[in-house]
Amino acid sequence: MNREHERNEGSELDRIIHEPSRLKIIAQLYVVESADYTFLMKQLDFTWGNLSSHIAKLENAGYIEVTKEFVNKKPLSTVKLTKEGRRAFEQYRENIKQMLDV
Amino acid sequence: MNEEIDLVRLEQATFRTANQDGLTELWMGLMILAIALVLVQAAFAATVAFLILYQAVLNEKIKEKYTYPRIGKVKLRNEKEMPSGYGWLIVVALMIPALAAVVFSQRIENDLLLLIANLAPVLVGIGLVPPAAYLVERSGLRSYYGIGAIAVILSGILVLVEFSTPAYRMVSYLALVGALFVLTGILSLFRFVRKYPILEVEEMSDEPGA
Repeated sequence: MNREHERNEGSELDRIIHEPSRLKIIAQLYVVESADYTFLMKQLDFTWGNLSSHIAKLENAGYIEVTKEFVNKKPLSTVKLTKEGRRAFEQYRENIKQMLDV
Repeated sequence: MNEEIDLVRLEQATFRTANQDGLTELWMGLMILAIALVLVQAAFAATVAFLILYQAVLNEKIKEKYTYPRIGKVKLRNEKEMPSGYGWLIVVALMIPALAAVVFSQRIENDLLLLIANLAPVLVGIGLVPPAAYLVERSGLRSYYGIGAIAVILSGILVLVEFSTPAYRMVSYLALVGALFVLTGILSLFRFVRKYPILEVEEMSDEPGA
């Protein structure tokens, strides 16, 4: 277990989440149960490639879970925030608040 | 990143995006029209039962065909809490007695029952306010209050108009409100389909880096 975010817990900002594009993705996923790639791309105004690379990083960090399936013979990837991701985002918000309050 | 993350606004924006296809309004309208049909002829109760039972399935089929290929699929949180516990209580406490009074006023002669039956559109109109407030809360769009306002104002107008029976008044009211919802839903769906073209097949590929 050598995840980058583990080094950033506590009062430091989580660098995985802190990147603006990933912060957008994780905040979006925080307010929904799940969303597919198309929805995230449209809602966040990302390109497909950009979204894919950030999703991969968040998935590697264990913050999101990607489920791949075929619907009407078309690939469909659904993205969902994991409990760990939810906790990390809440911690990130807390840390940001503390930093700004100082 | 020093900007505040407004999760409420984000959730409202997501709700607006997910519901801009007009299907919510369309189904509400169809449900109201179906209730009007039951008041005209009790045999239409099967239509209402069919709508209630298959609404979710039919809605999903329509979304699969028109909505998801255009804007993608999102599952909102707390979708089942609609409106709120108290909101539902108001809806049920007003609408069921109102509709029951209209039905029974055709069979039983009672002054109080007749009075409630005559005022039934107003009760139903007020009963539509909590769902409107729910939509405002979820979407952040105050224009949804318009649904409640129109429903109440229209009910007030119809109460002042003379009808031969309370049932005719109620059916007219439900038909008008239902038709308004259906029209709004169809127009929204039409606008949605024109605004968002179906994504090309290669765009739909989910492979990272595609």
